Amino acid sequence: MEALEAMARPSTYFAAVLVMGLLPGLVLRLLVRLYPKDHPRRTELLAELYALPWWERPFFVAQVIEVATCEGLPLRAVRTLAAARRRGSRLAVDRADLATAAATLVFSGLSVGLAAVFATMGFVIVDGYVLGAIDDWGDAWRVPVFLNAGFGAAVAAVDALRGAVEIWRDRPARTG
Amino acid sequence: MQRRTTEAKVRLAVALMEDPHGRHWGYELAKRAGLRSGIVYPALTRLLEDGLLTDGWEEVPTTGRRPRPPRRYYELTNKGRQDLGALATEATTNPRWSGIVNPGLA
Repeated sequence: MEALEAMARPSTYFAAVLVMGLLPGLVLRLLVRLYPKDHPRRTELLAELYALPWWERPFFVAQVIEVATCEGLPLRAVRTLAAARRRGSRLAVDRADLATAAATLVFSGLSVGLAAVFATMGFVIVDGYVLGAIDDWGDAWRVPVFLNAGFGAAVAAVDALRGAVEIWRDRPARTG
Repeated sequence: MQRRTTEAKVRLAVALMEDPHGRHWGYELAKRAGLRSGIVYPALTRLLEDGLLTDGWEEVPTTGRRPRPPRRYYELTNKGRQDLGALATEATTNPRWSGIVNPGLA
Protein backbone atom coordinates (compact mmCIF):
# COMPACT_ATOMS: atom_id res chain seq x y z
CA MET A 1 0.00 0.00 0.00
CA GLU A 2 2.82 2.37 0.92
CA ALA A 3 4.52 1.50 -2.35
CA LEU A 4 1.36 2.41 -4.26
CA GLU A 5 1.09 5.70 -2.41
CA ALA A 6 4.73 6.46 -3.15
CA MET A 7 4.14 5.75 -6.84
CA ALA A 8 1.19 8.14 -6.91
CA ARG A 9 3.24 11.06 -5.54
CA PRO A 10 4.13 13.82 -8.06
CA SER A 11 7.75 13.78 -6.82
CA THR A 12 8.04 10.10 -7.84
CA TYR A 13 6.70 10.97 -11.26
CA PHE A 14 9.17 13.81 -11.72
CA ALA A 15 12.03 11.67 -10.44
CA ALA A 16 11.10 8.99 -12.97
CA VAL A 17 10.96 11.54 -15.80
CA LEU A 18 14.34 12.88 -14.71
CA VAL A 19 16.08 9.52 -14.35
CA MET A 20 14.52 7.81 -17.36
CA GLY A 21 14.04 10.76 -19.68
CA LEU A 22 16.44 13.64 -19.18
CA LEU A 23 19.48 12.40 -17.30
CA PRO A 24 20.62 9.57 -19.60
CA GLY A 25 21.01 11.87 -22.60
CA LEU A 26 22.58 14.64 -20.55
CA VAL A 27 25.06 12.39 -18.74
CA LEU A 28 25.96 10.56 -21.94
CA ARG A 29 26.65 13.84 -23.73
CA LEU A 30 29.07 14.72 -20.95
CA LEU A 31 30.67 11.27 -20.95
CA VAL A 32 31.34 11.16 -24.69
CA ARG A 33 33.32 14.37 -24.30
CA LEU A 34 36.02 12.21 -22.74
CA TYR A 35 36.72 10.97 -26.29
CA PRO A 36 38.78 13.07 -28.70
CA LYS A 37 36.68 15.47 -30.78
CA ASP A 38 36.71 13.52 -34.05
CA HIS A 39 36.36 10.05 -32.52
CA PRO A 40 33.44 8.11 -34.05
CA ARG A 41 32.52 6.63 -30.66
CA ARG A 42 31.07 10.02 -29.65
CA THR A 43 28.33 9.82 -32.28
CA GLU A 44 28.05 6.05 -32.05
CA LEU A 45 27.23 5.97 -28.32
CA LEU A 46 24.71 8.81 -28.59
CA ALA A 47 23.00 7.12 -31.54
CA GLU A 48 22.90 3.81 -29.65
CA LEU A 49 21.20 5.56 -26.72
CA TYR A 50 18.35 6.95 -28.79
CA ALA A 51 17.79 3.60 -30.50
CA LEU A 52 17.16 1.95 -27.11
CA PRO A 53 13.80 1.80 -25.34
CA TRP A 54 13.67 4.40 -22.54
CA TRP A 55 13.76 1.87 -19.70
CA GLU A 56 17.13 0.52 -20.87
CA ARG A 57 18.78 3.93 -21.22
CA PRO A 58 19.97 4.49 -17.63
CA PHE A 59 21.62 1.06 -17.63
CA PHE A 60 23.30 1.75 -20.96
CA VAL A 61 24.66 5.06 -19.66
CA ALA A 62 25.97 3.31 -16.54
CA GLN A 63 27.92 0.94 -18.79
CA VAL A 64 29.26 3.80 -20.90
CA ILE A 65 30.98 5.24 -17.81
CA GLU A 66 33.40 2.32 -18.02
CA VAL A 67 33.83 2.57 -21.81
CA ALA A 68 34.48 6.30 -21.73
CA THR A 69 36.88 6.12 -18.78
CA CYS A 70 38.92 3.17 -19.98
CA GLU A 71 38.90 3.87 -23.73
CA GLY A 72 38.09 7.55 -24.20
CA LEU A 73 40.12 9.21 -21.47
CA PRO A 74 43.51 7.66 -22.39
CA LEU A 75 42.92 8.45 -26.09
CA ARG A 76 42.04 12.01 -25.25
CA ALA A 77 45.08 12.37 -23.00
CA VAL A 78 47.43 11.01 -25.67
CA ARG A 79 45.92 13.22 -28.41
CA THR A 80 46.02 16.30 -26.21
CA LEU A 81 49.66 15.70 -25.35
CA ALA A 82 50.57 15.01 -28.97
CA ALA A 83 48.78 18.15 -30.15
CA ALA A 84 50.47 20.23 -27.49
CA ARG A 85 53.88 18.88 -28.47
CA ARG A 86 53.20 19.51 -32.17
CA ARG A 87 52.50 23.10 -31.32
CA GLY A 88 55.81 23.08 -29.54
CA SER A 89 54.57 25.30 -26.80
CA ARG A 90 56.21 24.68 -23.46
CA LEU A 91 53.21 26.22 -21.72
CA ALA A 92 50.77 24.00 -23.64
CA VAL A 93 52.84 20.91 -22.88
CA ASP A 94 52.92 21.78 -19.21
CA ARG A 95 49.17 22.38 -19.16
CA ALA A 96 48.45 19.15 -21.03
CA ASP A 97 50.75 17.21 -18.70
CA LEU A 98 48.99 18.79 -15.80
CA ALA A 99 45.53 17.94 -17.17
CA THR A 100 46.50 14.31 -17.82
CA ALA A 101 48.14 13.94 -14.44
CA ALA A 102 45.15 15.59 -12.72
CA ALA A 103 42.61 13.36 -14.49
CA THR A 104 44.62 10.23 -13.71
CA LEU A 105 45.14 11.30 -10.11
CA VAL A 106 41.44 12.02 -9.61
CA PHE A 107 40.51 8.64 -11.06
CA SER A 108 43.12 6.72 -9.09
CA GLY A 109 42.34 8.73 -5.96
CA LEU A 110 38.66 7.88 -6.23
CA SER A 111 39.52 4.24 -6.84
CA VAL A 112 41.89 4.11 -3.87
CA GLY A 113 39.25 5.79 -1.70
CA LEU A 114 36.59 3.34 -2.80
CA ALA A 115 38.96 0.43 -2.28
CA ALA A 116 39.71 1.63 1.24
CA VAL A 117 36.04 2.15 2.11
CA PHE A 118 34.83 -1.14 0.69
CA ALA A 119 37.74 -3.14 2.04
CA THR A 120 37.29 -1.59 5.48
CA MET A 121 33.58 -2.33 5.46
CA GLY A 122 34.27 -5.87 4.28
CA PHE A 123 36.87 -6.46 6.97
CA VAL A 124 34.67 -4.91 9.64
CA ILE A 125 31.94 -7.35 8.70
CA VAL A 126 34.41 -10.24 8.61
CA ASP A 127 35.53 -9.14 12.05
CA GLY A 128 31.89 -9.16 13.05
CA TYR A 129 31.77 -12.79 11.98
CA VAL A 130 34.75 -13.66 14.05
CA LEU A 131 33.16 -12.06 17.08
CA GLY A 132 30.04 -14.09 16.51
CA ALA A 133 27.91 -11.11 15.60
CA ILE A 134 26.35 -12.73 12.57
CA ASP A 135 22.97 -13.06 14.16
CA ASP A 136 22.85 -9.40 15.12
CA TRP A 137 23.82 -8.24 11.66
CA GLY A 138 22.03 -10.84 9.60
CA ASP A 139 23.77 -9.49 6.51
CA ALA A 140 26.08 -12.33 5.61
CA TRP A 141 25.62 -11.65 1.89
CA ARG A 142 27.35 -8.29 2.24
CA VAL A 143 30.74 -9.79 2.98
CA PRO A 144 31.52 -11.07 -0.52
CA VAL A 145 29.89 -7.98 -2.03
CA PHE A 146 32.06 -5.55 -0.08
CA LEU A 147 35.20 -7.62 -0.44
CA ASN A 148 34.63 -7.98 -4.19
CA ALA A 149 33.89 -4.29 -4.57
CA GLY A 150 36.99 -3.45 -2.54
CA PHE A 151 39.09 -5.80 -4.63
CA GLY A 152 37.63 -4.37 -7.87
CA ALA A 153 38.34 -0.82 -6.81
CA ALA A 154 41.87 -1.79 -5.77
CA VAL A 155 42.49 -3.36 -9.18
CA ALA A 156 41.12 -0.21 -10.87
CA ALA A 157 43.42 1.92 -8.71
CA VAL A 158 46.47 -0.16 -9.62
CA ASP A 159 45.46 -0.01 -13.30
CA ALA A 160 45.07 3.75 -13.19
CA LEU A 161 48.43 4.19 -11.49
CA ARG A 162 50.10 1.87 -14.01
CA GLY A 163 48.50 3.87 -16.83
CA ALA A 164 49.82 7.09 -15.33
CA VAL A 165 53.33 5.62 -15.07
CA GLU A 166 53.16 4.40 -18.69
CA ILE A 167 52.01 7.80 -19.95
CA TRP A 168 54.82 9.42 -18.00
CA ARG A 169 57.42 6.95 -19.30
CA ASP A 170 56.27 7.26 -22.94
CA ARG A 171 56.39 11.04 -22.96
CA PRO A 172 58.59 12.35 -25.75
CA ALA A 173 61.66 14.25 -24.71
CA ARG A 174 61.14 17.99 -24.57
CA THR A 175 63.12 20.17 -26.88
CA GLY A 176 63.93 23.81 -26.60
CA MET B 1 50.68 -8.90 -34.56
CA GLN B 2 48.88 -12.04 -33.41
CA ARG B 3 46.42 -11.23 -30.67
CA ARG B 4 45.52 -13.56 -27.84
CA THR B 5 42.26 -15.51 -28.02
CA THR B 6 40.27 -14.20 -25.12
CA GLU B 7 36.86 -15.20 -23.84
CA ALA B 8 35.51 -11.84 -25.02
CA LYS B 9 36.77 -12.51 -28.55
CA VAL B 10 35.22 -15.97 -28.57
CA ARG B 11 31.91 -14.63 -27.28
CA LEU B 12 31.94 -11.89 -29.93
CA ALA B 13 32.85 -14.39 -32.65
CA VAL B 14 29.93 -16.62 -31.68
CA ALA B 15 27.54 -13.62 -31.57
CA LEU B 16 28.76 -12.26 -34.92
CA MET B 17 28.60 -15.66 -36.61
CA GLU B 18 24.92 -16.00 -35.70
CA ASP B 19 24.37 -13.70 -38.68
CA PRO B 20 27.61 -13.66 -40.68
CA HIS B 21 26.26 -11.45 -43.49
CA GLY B 22 24.16 -9.10 -41.40
CA ARG B 23 24.71 -5.75 -39.77
CA HIS B 24 25.53 -5.67 -36.08
CA TRP B 25 25.24 -2.84 -33.55
CA GLY B 26 27.58 -2.35 -30.61
CA TYR B 27 25.17 -2.53 -27.70
CA GLU B 28 23.03 -5.22 -29.30
CA LEU B 29 26.21 -7.30 -29.80
CA ALA B 30 27.16 -6.74 -26.15
CA LYS B 31 23.81 -8.08 -25.01
CA ARG B 32 23.90 -11.09 -27.34
CA ALA B 33 27.49 -11.92 -26.39
CA GLY B 34 26.72 -11.48 -22.70
CA LEU B 35 29.52 -8.93 -22.28
CA ARG B 36 29.75 -5.45 -20.79
CA SER B 37 29.93 -2.50 -23.15
CA GLY B 38 33.31 -1.65 -21.59
CA ILE B 39 34.72 -4.83 -23.11
CA VAL B 40 32.78 -4.93 -26.36
CA TYR B 41 33.58 -1.49 -27.80
CA PRO B 42 37.38 -1.76 -27.39
CA ALA B 43 37.18 -5.33 -28.74
CA LEU B 44 35.27 -4.10 -31.80
CA THR B 45 37.98 -1.50 -32.38
CA ARG B 46 40.64 -4.24 -32.32
CA LEU B 47 38.62 -6.38 -34.77
CA LEU B 48 38.32 -3.34 -37.06
CA GLU B 49 42.08 -2.75 -36.86
CA ASP B 50 42.71 -6.42 -37.68
CA GLY B 51 40.50 -6.18 -40.77
CA LEU B 52 37.98 -8.72 -39.48
CA LEU B 53 35.18 -6.15 -39.39
CA THR B 54 34.17 -3.19 -41.42
CA ASP B 55 31.93 -0.38 -40.21
CA GLY B 56 29.51 2.18 -41.57
CA TRP B 57 26.61 4.42 -40.63
CA GLU B 58 23.03 3.37 -41.20
CA GLU B 59 20.64 5.37 -43.34
CA VAL B 60 17.85 6.66 -41.14
CA PRO B 61 14.46 7.26 -42.76
CA THR B 62 13.51 10.92 -42.41
CA THR B 63 9.79 10.17 -42.35
CA GLY B 64 7.73 7.99 -40.06
CA ARG B 65 8.95 7.50 -36.51
CA ARG B 66 10.70 10.14 -34.44
CA PRO B 67 14.01 10.96 -36.09
CA ARG B 68 17.15 9.75 -34.33
CA PRO B 69 20.84 9.92 -35.20
CA PRO B 70 22.18 7.17 -37.49
CA ARG B 71 23.81 4.26 -35.70
CA ARG B 72 27.21 2.83 -36.49
CA TYR B 73 27.04 -0.73 -37.74
CA TYR B 74 29.64 -3.47 -38.00
CA GLU B 75 29.83 -6.12 -40.72
CA LEU B 76 32.11 -9.10 -41.03
CA THR B 77 34.64 -8.98 -43.85
CA ASN B 78 35.53 -12.15 -45.79
CA LYS B 79 38.61 -12.51 -43.59
CA GLY B 80 36.43 -11.98 -40.52
CA ARG B 81 33.92 -14.61 -41.59
CA GLN B 82 36.83 -17.00 -42.15
CA ASP B 83 38.81 -16.27 -38.95
CA LEU B 84 35.94 -15.68 -36.54
CA GLY B 85 33.96 -18.53 -38.11
CA ALA B 86 36.90 -20.84 -37.40
CA LEU B 87 37.09 -19.50 -33.85
CA ALA B 88 33.35 -19.99 -33.29
CA THR B 89 33.61 -23.53 -34.65
CA GLU B 90 36.61 -24.24 -32.45
CA ALA B 91 34.65 -22.96 -29.47
CA THR B 92 32.10 -25.73 -29.98
CA THR B 93 34.76 -28.43 -29.73
CA ASN B 94 37.27 -26.89 -27.33
CA PRO B 95 36.29 -27.71 -23.73
CA ARG B 96 37.79 -24.38 -22.64
CA TRP B 97 35.08 -22.47 -24.51
CA SER B 98 32.25 -25.01 -24.45
CA GLY B 99 30.49 -23.08 -21.66
CA ILE B 100 30.16 -20.08 -23.98
CA VAL B 101 28.55 -21.95 -26.85
CA ASN B 102 26.53 -24.33 -24.67
CA PRO B 103 25.95 -22.50 -21.38
CA GLY B 104 23.89 -25.40 -20.10
CA LEU B 105 26.89 -27.72 -20.24
CA ALA B 106 29.20 -25.41 -18.27
